[in-house]
Amino acid sequence: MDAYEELCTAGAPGAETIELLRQLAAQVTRSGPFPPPEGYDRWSPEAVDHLVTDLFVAKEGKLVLKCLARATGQVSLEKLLITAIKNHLRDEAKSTERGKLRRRLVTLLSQDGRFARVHVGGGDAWSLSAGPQAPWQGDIEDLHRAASLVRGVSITRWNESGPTPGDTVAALTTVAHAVLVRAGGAVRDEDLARLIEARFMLIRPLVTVHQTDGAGGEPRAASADGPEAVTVSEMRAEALWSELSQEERSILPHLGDLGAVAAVLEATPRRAGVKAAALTEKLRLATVDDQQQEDVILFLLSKCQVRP
Amino acid sequence: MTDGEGMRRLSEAAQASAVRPDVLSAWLGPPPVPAPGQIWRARWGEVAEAILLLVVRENAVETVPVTFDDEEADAGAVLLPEDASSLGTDVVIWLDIRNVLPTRVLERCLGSLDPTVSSQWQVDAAVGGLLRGEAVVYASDPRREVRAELEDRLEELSHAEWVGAGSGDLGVILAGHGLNPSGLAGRLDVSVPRAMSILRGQAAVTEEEAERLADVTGRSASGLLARNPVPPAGIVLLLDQPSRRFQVLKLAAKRGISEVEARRRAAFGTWALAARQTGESRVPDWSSRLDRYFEVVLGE
Repeated sequence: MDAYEELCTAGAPGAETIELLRQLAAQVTRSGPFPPPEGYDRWSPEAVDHLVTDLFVAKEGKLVLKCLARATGQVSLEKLLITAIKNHLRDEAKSTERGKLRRRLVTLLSQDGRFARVHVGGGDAWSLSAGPQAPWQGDIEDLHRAASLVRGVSITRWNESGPTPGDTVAALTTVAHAVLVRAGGAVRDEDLARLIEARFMLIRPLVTVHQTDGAGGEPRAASADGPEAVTVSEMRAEALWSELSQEERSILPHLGDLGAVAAVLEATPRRAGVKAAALTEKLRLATVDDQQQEDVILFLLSKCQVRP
Repeated sequence: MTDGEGMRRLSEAAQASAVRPDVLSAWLGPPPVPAPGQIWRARWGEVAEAILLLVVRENAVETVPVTFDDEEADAGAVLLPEDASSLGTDVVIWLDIRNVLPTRVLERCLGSLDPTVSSQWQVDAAVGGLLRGEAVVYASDPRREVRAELEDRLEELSHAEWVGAGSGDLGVILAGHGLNPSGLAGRLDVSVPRAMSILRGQAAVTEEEAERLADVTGRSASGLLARNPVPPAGIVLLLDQPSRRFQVLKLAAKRGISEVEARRRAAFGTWALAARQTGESRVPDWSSRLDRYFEVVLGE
């Protein structure tokens, strides 16, 4: 009896399913960028077991229900479980990174006289010093839109430790201020962190944190015309390219041709459309404040040919 | 943490993630008669999805997909709490991905909405009285891909087909090319009784068989398939009911054929049996005929 048959007959993970999960989790963590759980310094068998246990606990009965609903055999069950493992690891990493972002915001906003720390509904929140302090209770979509409309800011460097670079401070506080103006009240820590994470995740996913080498300064100041401007554009294109996933790189040269995107991804037109729209938005928001936006995009496209 | 302690935690967590006993009973038991408010697994080929039945017709159901991860829900999806259904967990009902699916895709029942919920929840959802997911703002929101995948899968299920459309004169065409039962049986590598059924217009040829007949008839395989007979609607309707699916799948497993092929064989086999046993004036009792057919082929 394989794991699929075991789940279909017992409605519960038995020995076969547990062993399959351990194998798949070991496979995912061996090749993926995810750090081991707290208390482990590497992905040992015990760390993998910890991950599988956490997955069961986090999903409760939903994992088995999802398997019963969607798996049609052992092969599809394995794909489903691999996706569940990866999504769980991403959620854990995001939660960790969001916690770090919340703590960083506490540091930055506390030093900025425009913002006030308030306590609402049993938790901490931020409001404008000169604005209403009552808890905001509106639609989060409204605040997401307010964040997305902020222009002239970008995060070019995101350091794990040490002082936050000046342009990053400006980006974070500008977006936070815009959100709080729109909210007209106090926004909870968690919500503000989510809003800022969503706004800047399009440019630089917070899960993969970039380290500075300490010696790196601002990009060389570019004149409006001249060879320095081209160099900055190349640098921006290089930075953007490094943040694109393999899948995004493969569809980049085909944006505008949904049929080609679908063929490359071996996906339906609908899913190809979603992927293409996501990448287009990512590039647009990453370069909208770039004076050499066209050059950046052209350099980016040239990398598709050099590095398939 | 020691190895032993880690394994104990893992085993306990695995046991705690079992589905509820009544969900397992519904899953393993004979499928009920489809009714609104039930949550089923719909499956055709390698595509399977949990769905909620909204309206049940004779040979089709109006449905919306059901998932179980709250964080995947967008503003088009309603979040129902754990006590709103028999599944023992929160469910996400994707209200705006409404599809009409043929009854043939219903495979197993998972559970149902609580009766006190099902009669009112659609009204509550429409007037905004129920919790919904957050709206998607960014094109790169992963929930867009979740929605696209659900829409693709439901669309694929809505096109589930096994009967095919045919003019029904294949037997006449083959006979016109001098093919008799033994000759046809030899060419197709099938039994003589099957060849006779094909020539009588009471059995359909498969794609592979059509290709084998292409050169002798001077027609393309697809052209021959278009001449296949179509079994009576009464048989198709019955075979499409979930109560017959277990029998069809047993036949498929026993003969090592696909579910689609098993359905065709059951349909044409039942039709052929009825043609030999009833007069032209009476409409056969297809349900009893199907019972008899499966009794013979499955030995039940």
